[in-house]
Amino acid sequence: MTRAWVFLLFAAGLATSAMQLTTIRTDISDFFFSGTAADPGYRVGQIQSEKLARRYLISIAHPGVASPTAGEFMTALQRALAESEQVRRVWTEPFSQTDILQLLRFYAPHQLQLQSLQPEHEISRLLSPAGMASQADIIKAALLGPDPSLVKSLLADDPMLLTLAWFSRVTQAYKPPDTDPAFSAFFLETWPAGLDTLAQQGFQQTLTEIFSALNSHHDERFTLAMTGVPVFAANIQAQVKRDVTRISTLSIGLVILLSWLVFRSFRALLCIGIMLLTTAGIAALLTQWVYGYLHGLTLALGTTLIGVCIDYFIHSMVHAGNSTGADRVLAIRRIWPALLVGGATTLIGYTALSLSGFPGLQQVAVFTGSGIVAALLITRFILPDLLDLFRVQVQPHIDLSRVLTIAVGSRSHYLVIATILCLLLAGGTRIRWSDDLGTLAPSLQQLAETDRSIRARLSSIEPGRFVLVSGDDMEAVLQTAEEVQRQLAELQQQGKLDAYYPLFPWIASRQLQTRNAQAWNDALNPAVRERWIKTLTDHGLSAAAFPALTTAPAPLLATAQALDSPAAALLSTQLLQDTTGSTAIIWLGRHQPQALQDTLQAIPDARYFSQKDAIGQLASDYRRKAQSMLLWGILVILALLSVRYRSVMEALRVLTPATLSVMLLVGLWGLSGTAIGMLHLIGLLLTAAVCVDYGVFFLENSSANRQRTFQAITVSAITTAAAFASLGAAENPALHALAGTVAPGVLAGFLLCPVMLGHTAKGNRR
Amino acid sequence: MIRQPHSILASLLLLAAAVFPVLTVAQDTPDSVLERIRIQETRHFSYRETRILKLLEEPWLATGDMYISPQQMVIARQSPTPVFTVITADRMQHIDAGQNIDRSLKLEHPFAVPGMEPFMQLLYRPTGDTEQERYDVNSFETAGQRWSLQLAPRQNTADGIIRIELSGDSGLGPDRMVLEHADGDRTEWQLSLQSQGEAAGRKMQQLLESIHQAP
Repeated sequence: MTRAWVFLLFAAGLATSAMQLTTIRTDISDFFFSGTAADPGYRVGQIQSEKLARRYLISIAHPGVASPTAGEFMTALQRALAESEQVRRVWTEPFSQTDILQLLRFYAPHQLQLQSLQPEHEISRLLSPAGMASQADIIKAALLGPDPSLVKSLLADDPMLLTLAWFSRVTQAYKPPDTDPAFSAFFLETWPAGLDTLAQQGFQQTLTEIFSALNSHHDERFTLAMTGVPVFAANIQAQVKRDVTRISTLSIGLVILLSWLVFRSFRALLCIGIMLLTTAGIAALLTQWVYGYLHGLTLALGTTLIGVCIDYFIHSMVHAGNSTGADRVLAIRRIWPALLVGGATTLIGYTALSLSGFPGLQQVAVFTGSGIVAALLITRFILPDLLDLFRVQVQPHIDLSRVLTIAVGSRSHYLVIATILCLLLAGGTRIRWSDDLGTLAPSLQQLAETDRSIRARLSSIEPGRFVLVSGDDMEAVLQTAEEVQRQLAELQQQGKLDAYYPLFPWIASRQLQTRNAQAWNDALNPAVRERWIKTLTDHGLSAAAFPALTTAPAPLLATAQALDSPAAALLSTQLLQDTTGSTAIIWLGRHQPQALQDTLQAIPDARYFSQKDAIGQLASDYRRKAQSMLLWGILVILALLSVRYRSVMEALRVLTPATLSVMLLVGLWGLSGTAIGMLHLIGLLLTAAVCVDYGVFFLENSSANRQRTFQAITVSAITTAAAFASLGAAENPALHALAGTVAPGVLAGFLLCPVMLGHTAKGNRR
Repeated sequence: MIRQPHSILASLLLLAAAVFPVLTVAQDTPDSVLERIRIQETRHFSYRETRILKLLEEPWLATGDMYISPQQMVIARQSPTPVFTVITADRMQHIDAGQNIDRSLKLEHPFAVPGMEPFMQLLYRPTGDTEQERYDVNSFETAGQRWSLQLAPRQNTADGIIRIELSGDSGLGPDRMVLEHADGDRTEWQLSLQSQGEAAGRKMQQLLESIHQAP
């Protein structure tokens, strides 16, 4: 009794600690992907989450609204948002008026070193009579344009005013696609991190309120739409939260209802509830300790998986029956070996899960594995005292003797085996594998469509497709990136690539800068200087007032200088430099992937990267591993059972219900055309692990009372099936896959126990 | 002899008509001319622009039409080559079809057009703002039927404008404007009012439509 009171105190403390110490994260990429700092894909992900994840893309639809009114509305909205404390900046175009001035002034003194990727050719063209005439035209047009002061200030550092044409060329890639006059769009960057969902949800609320207040003065003629990582993050968090609430409520409700129907005892329910909560608390704290956080999906999935532990409590309570004190302890001791074997086989299943490489499932395995160990220990050492404390007398109100007699006596097992084998043969060859991880991510179809339409209006660059350049140091990376850009320019001319965000000429390798300077210095001779003066005069410009052409200045533009320049905001999303090396990213517009891959093959350290393809590859790897783990899991379980029963045949017999259940599911999937992904395979592994427990319990029949054993298994099976079936109520399709696999699999495995093992179970022999 | 009442009224009207120009001259104060400059209705001017820059061998001349409304300004240069500039509170668009140029610049402050900012501020200053906050009035003169005002920006501007000269006929807005830069360069605008109000607004709208419909 004392032990029971101590346990109750421990359980209360544990529940409090679990609630206070657990950090729930909902970033879906944490669940699906893992990586190390040495992995370039992971490093790009870092850039995306650090730099790009704070950005909102906001679109305002205003069909039929006059252009000046729409303009005023947009200006007012952007100003109001910019005043919010959470907003870092708001912008429409990639370069503001100040950005342009600062960039022109910063780059004017470096023009000669940053002229071209093909400097010899370009400088020869520039200093030809035609090239000079063209440059003089540009100078004159700029002087006679709206802002001659800017031109005058640039000429001091850049006598041929190369910066203007250079800037116009460079920024071409950043121009948004042709805009639909019925829409206006802009970017917004927040101070809070994109994945700080609490702050982002608050900001989204503020944004909507500001918009609504302005819109109310315009007869609600404007419509707001937004996208970006913070929008997805907030929606995913909301969905995970809804799933956790819905599944927990439903599964707990179902388990309570079923337990009540079977036991008709509130005390029994209370007892089970306390033990389950303690188990979940231990699992949450251990997972938090191992990972430093608990993923929302782990909680949703793990809570249901931990529901499997209820099997041990129920099984033991049924076997303990009406006994008290020492008899109760004895009853539980009698079934302990079977519980241990059952627990061990389930643990093997979860261990196999963790070896699939799927990071989210590794966490689920830790959560559930620790829960199983805790549940087994509670069953063995606490349950008898707890039953005494609550004076629980369990007598299942379920009579299965007739079912058992029919199942055991029918000798229909050969027919069942034959039928299932036929189904497997018919459906097995038609299995449709799916490696699209996207189908397992939260279903945010509407958000994805909004995202596509807003992005199409704001940027010509495709998210998730880029060229990745890696190298030992920045100089090597920049040299490779320059070679990549030469190839990209050719692809662009061939119409195989629409646009790309370049690194050159915002930044250039020392090698290329030296080549540019050398080409200029070599070409600059008195005749060239004379020609330039004549060209200026011919164009009505006062040559004497222009600075003379000089050799390229010796200092080159250092990488650190560029990264600290007005171009830093651009470069920070394209360059990553740390102790593990340097990486450059060239973001791509619409392109022909094959043409890009073929072109880049010849450049070492450069590779075309498509996040979607990479994720598909990852999913395919996960699935192959899951297939392999399923096989290994079953083999290890077979080995364990063989050791336990000292007979491979006996072990195979225990496995029969689980194996047939798995075969049945595979056959049915093939016949129904269901697309099978990695989570279906994981579901199969779980089904096998749970059904093996039933096989063990049924075959060992430790209480020597077949009726009672079957009663215990029945209660366990229906509560487990109900808990997993409740996953089907989730919005997340990943949970649907598990629900559709484990719930029917467990029921089939349970029903197959008396059919397949009835003849050989201990109780039967007696 | 008793005068007829309508004769008295006619005499008063004649007197008022005779005195009116004198009163108008009396109203040509710095504040009043600056208030006249502020755009309150659409006006259509033909203009002649002269740029005298050290970097140009000779002064550069341009002519065209200028439309100024409370919401926007449209400069339709006709010679030496056609160029359009459309300025709204938050954007400037510069279209030079001959050079294949169509540039659009988002303005960070309302009507803060680079190179023309002090002038635009005079035209589009918000109600209640006084020029004295931004400019020193160097001189204000009236001679004959004309007024003349010289302003100096209180703060250095990026475009280097150190002086603005405005002049016009008594009782009217400016018809001549000179921007002087610190390096000695200067730009002079001569304006001739063609129409105002709805007529000017219609013409401006037609011009904008033709610009936007152009290929």
